[in-house]
Amino acid sequence: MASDPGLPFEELFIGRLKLEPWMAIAIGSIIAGSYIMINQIIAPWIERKVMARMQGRRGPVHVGKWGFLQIPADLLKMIGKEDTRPEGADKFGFSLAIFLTGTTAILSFAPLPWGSKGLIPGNFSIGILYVFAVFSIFPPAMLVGGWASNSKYSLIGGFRSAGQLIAYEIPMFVSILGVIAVVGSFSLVEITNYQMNNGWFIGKYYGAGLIAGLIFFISGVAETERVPFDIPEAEAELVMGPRTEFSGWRYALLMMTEYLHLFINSLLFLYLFVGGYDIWPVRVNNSPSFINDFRMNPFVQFLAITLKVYVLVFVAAWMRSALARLRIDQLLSLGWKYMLPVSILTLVVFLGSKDVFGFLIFW
Amino acid sequence: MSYNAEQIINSLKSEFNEKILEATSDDFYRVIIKVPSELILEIAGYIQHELGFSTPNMCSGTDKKEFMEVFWHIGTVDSPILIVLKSELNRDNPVVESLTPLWKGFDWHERETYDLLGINFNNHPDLRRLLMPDNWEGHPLREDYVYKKPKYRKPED
Amino acid sequence: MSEKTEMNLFMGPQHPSMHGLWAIRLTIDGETIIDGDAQIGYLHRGYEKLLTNRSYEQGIPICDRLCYVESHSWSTSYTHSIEGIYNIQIPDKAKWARILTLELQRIASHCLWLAAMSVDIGALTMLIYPMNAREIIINMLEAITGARMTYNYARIGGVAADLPFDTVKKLERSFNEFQRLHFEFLDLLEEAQIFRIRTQGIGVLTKEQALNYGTTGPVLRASGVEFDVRKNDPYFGYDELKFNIPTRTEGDCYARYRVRIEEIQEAMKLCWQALDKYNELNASDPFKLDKLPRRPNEGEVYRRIETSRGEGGFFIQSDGSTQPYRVRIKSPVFNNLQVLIPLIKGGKLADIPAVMGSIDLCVGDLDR
Repeated sequence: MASDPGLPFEELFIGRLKLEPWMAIAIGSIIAGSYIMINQIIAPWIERKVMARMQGRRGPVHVGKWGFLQIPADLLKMIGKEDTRPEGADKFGFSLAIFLTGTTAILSFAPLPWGSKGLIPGNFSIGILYVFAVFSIFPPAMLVGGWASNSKYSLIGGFRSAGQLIAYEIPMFVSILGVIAVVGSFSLVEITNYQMNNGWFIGKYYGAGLIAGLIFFISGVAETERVPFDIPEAEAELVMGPRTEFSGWRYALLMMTEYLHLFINSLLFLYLFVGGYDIWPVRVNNSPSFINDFRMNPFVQFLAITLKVYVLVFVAAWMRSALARLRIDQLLSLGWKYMLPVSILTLVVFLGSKDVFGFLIFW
Repeated sequence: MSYNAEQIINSLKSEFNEKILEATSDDFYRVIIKVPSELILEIAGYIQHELGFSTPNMCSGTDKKEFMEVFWHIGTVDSPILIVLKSELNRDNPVVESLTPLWKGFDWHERETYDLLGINFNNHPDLRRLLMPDNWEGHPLREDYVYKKPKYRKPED
Repeated sequence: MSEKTEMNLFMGPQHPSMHGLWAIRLTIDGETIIDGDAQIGYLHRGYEKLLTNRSYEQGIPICDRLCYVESHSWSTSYTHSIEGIYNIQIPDKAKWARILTLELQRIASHCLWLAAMSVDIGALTMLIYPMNAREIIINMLEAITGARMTYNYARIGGVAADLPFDTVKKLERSFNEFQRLHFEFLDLLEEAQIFRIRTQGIGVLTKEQALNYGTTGPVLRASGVEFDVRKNDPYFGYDELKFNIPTRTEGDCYARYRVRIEEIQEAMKLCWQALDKYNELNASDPFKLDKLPRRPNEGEVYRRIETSRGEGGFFIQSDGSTQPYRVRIKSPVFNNLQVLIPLIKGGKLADIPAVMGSIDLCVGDLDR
């Protein structure tokens, strides 16, 4: 039913305002970029507030209403600080790590749709592959940064980061192979539209969708290095891991990247398993009705995905305040021994239910 | 296997008779045994193996101006008694056998005693300064110690 | 292929999880620890010399500063040894007041330990909840002694002040509040599987090792030895009170954690018993000796008490003057910390905070 989304804001910019396609793309990208930036300031604030409430504190209160401007104030302070680089650090690698993490995090947003009618900065058919490829540069970039900072804590943290990537990238990708095979496309728009028509994957295939979704989410948490998988930056043994030697604006950029990663991870989980910008978890019938118009409204879709992302931000804050940290070998064994076989199992169930393997498994 | 103070003194006296210089007990469940410094290891071994005093409590020393006194407190988990092994050492060159081979817990205690009082422990596995910096001169708890402003090394030295 | 893969790592005094000022020089191979050398002395303030330069009374407030987590235990321990030198008995009222405050101090110290250990393992929320619980106990101690951190409540031959008239009411309110919080936060930690897999089977200290290294307190009791100075060498009036010594046989970090948690409950029981005994006495009974002997006796004394980390005591040699001739502080952490390096050898880098947290060190009385 939902057609090819085409160019960004096609209906509005090209249809009504008669803009050139490249202008539409540029304006769309600017809108998407500012949206990300605003959320990047809201998400840490929400996380700090939620964690504070869970710990019986009040969180930031002084800057702005309810401490809302605390994060911009922190950023300003950090940007104003002296830019230090440890003696003996590799100058190129030290800077490269920051630019790699920052740019790749922002570039990962390109193929993520915010609505079915062209709210997408760059719509291309290999959306998921692209996001994965760009997203996976982060741990090696951290290794580069850790190695270049001429600090042993950073180096060990960088190695942990790389080891964690290998252990979690594989179950992560295997868990979504089922989705890709069922939809038959790498495009996130296609996948979301398939779910709008056929129901969300998280509730399908005899629980396999749920398990695959959980594996994807856990792997995503591990890849974004958040609690309980914040092993590379375990402050109890490795001061701050690969981030130890970064200060000032470099540290600010790294912290912002952390929240961008949280966003990308949450968004991918939403698009692949929880219906993306869809608000209603049952199938669409083509009859024109209020609910159909409502869920196809770009503004509603935009609000829906934002709301869903913030639910996941809340979950992340919840996990951070409730859980302790795993050890690196325990984490690797969890990844290799349990999550990889289970994700392969879910793949089999996905394909079997879709009659791809129908001749092998009969149900 | 718990003894009272009297039994311990009798047992030690019958085993080592006149080698033990003095054996007394006080009101705080301590059995104080003064021995010559050469016999420390032998008597400590007897205390550990025959009397079953298994836990090292502490070891330290005192500068008594005429001589250097070193003492070990050795305890047990089933009675409140502490055996105190005491020995008087030559103040200019205090050397005594280490009890660390018997009780590993005396390791840091003996290192500290060496550090602060300058008592050398033979056969100690790792006799270095513990609390003071490695390049510190003198032993601060000695009575004739005069504080000198320490010379700090530069980090690259 | 015999390339050198070992690396030296200095977990220095500025390291965030070093619980104060000390350091380990580690030799690691990847994540595995091959060897380590603990370096202490960064907080060496020369207490033993300080105390010999002051009269006995002047030493008490200094001993309050020995360990910032349980100052009252240390000043009481010093007065306990001084009473041995003077050869005096303290009045009954002082005994019970001391037991009450000492056990409150133990609860407060264990709460702080729990906060520090949890945050070492990565449970951030558990930093806040035990500190809130500790706040209740600290308020109680403030009501009794008038101070929140360095109480200066111990005196030679008694305590500084009588208990307030409404202690029973306050203690009941505090403990009810404390119990509520206590169970709330223990669920958060123990029901989460991550805490268990991080601590169970990690840093196993065998009974023989524990005895040979001279460990005391919860570290020894978690290895299956039922040794507690309060029972084995009773002081004040502990032999008249009923309490259990919690022990575990596993000897790992989780056992040490459990022992301390159970000790909090026992300490609360002891507080009530001591307060009941106190209330049996008349209001006009003395809480402090009016007169001390003019001069202390000549000789030496070593008396120990059970601090929250283990056996702590003061060895005092007196030459009959108003100042001690030699003081040696027996610190429980000094012995307990020696087992750290053998325990983490062969383990992973992330085990260091877990083991170190479970040993519960306070660098104040480690370095003295």
